[in-house]
Amino acid sequence: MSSDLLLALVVGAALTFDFTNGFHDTANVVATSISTRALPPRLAILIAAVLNFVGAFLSLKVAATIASGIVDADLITLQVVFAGLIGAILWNLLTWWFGLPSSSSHALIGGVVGAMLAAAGPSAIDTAGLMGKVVIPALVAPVLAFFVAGIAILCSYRIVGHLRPGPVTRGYRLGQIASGSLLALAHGTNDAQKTMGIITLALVANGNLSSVDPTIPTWVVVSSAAAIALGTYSGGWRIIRTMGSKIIKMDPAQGFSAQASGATVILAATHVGFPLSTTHVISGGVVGAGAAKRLSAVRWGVAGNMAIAWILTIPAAGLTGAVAYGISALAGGGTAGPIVVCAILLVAVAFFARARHTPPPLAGEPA
Amino acid sequence: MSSFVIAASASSDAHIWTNLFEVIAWGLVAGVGLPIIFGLAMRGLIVGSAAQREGGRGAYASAQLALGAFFSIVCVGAVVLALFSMLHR
Repeated sequence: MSSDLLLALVVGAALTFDFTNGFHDTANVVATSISTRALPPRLAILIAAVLNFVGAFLSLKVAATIASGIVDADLITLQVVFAGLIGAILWNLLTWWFGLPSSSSHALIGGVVGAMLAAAGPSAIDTAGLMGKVVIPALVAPVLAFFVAGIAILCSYRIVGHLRPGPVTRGYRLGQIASGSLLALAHGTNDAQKTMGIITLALVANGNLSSVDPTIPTWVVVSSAAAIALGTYSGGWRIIRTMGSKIIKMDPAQGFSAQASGATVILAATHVGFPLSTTHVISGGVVGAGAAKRLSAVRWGVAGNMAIAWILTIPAAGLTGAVAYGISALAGGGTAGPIVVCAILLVAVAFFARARHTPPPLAGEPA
Repeated sequence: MSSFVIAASASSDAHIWTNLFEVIAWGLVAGVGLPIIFGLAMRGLIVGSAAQREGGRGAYASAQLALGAFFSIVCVGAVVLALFSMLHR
């Protein structure tokens, strides 16, 4: 009975994380469409939410990597999964507060790895898996998106540069509806699966699924897809502002290139099962599309702050996950520990909710 | 054995570098190719429509519009093919 209550807490925390993931990463998907006025803000977010939901059903390879390729599934406990999720949620809320588009995926992986280190020591971490499937793709993907978007925008300017700007702008705005939709779909395929993988880990830890053959239950897929879609629909305006207008002032061609490069890199990574940071990829695309036109067009100070948040994400979420595990263990472990951590988290959420008054809206943005 | 386990073993073997190369190759080809094809489609449609409006260059306008339509189809087809191959790997 207490074990089932703990499992329910973990699943609740996983879906809360999924919601914050959608909420946090909405910006990645819609910011460029909004800032170039390809779509009105609410419609952009609605399309992103629906396509995130659909995307979650397209593949299970990333979920498989999360559930089996980063930590030792035989040593994991519900308390570890719970503490890892708390680390990820807190980091997401903190970076959202500062308007920083950091990676929800790395927060999740960092949180689980940190909690696992605190619980079972370094031997429980699949170092090769962590390096090969998380760290190296994390370094390669944004650089790849940067160059792809840069080359794409230079080619695009060469092809349409001598045409009248009016029809070209209208054409790229129309194209952005398609590229933004593809990006939302790609985001759903990669990010919703991370929560599916975590819930699967919890079900294995609780003995509901075999660690040898853990088929993902349909309710896990549906609830993860719904949570990320709801989070996306809630929108995170602070990060939309950073992604849409603080890094570079984009024209529709740049927006299209950034979105198309981001979507293709994410879909390629999902295809092989890499749990990529969609945030890093899209940010890399946005900076690449800006820098290719003119290096000084990029506000490097903002890009630098984002890079610092990226570097800090895994260690900070890991530390928070380890601390959450420590508090949980000190409170007696079992079900009582996570309940105490939940109470602390609720106080933190209440603090952030009180402060959720966004700065003055962008033109066309709902107040 | 479930599809989940098959996917898990595929993602946990020693093919990380091959997979990474695949991501880089497809990211480059599709990420650069898609905007180029879209640009060519737009160019054909814009130039063709302008020529049609000005009149007197019927064949040229038709050729440009046909090119624009062709590249539009290639663009949509590439996206559909990519999604299809993701679903059926």
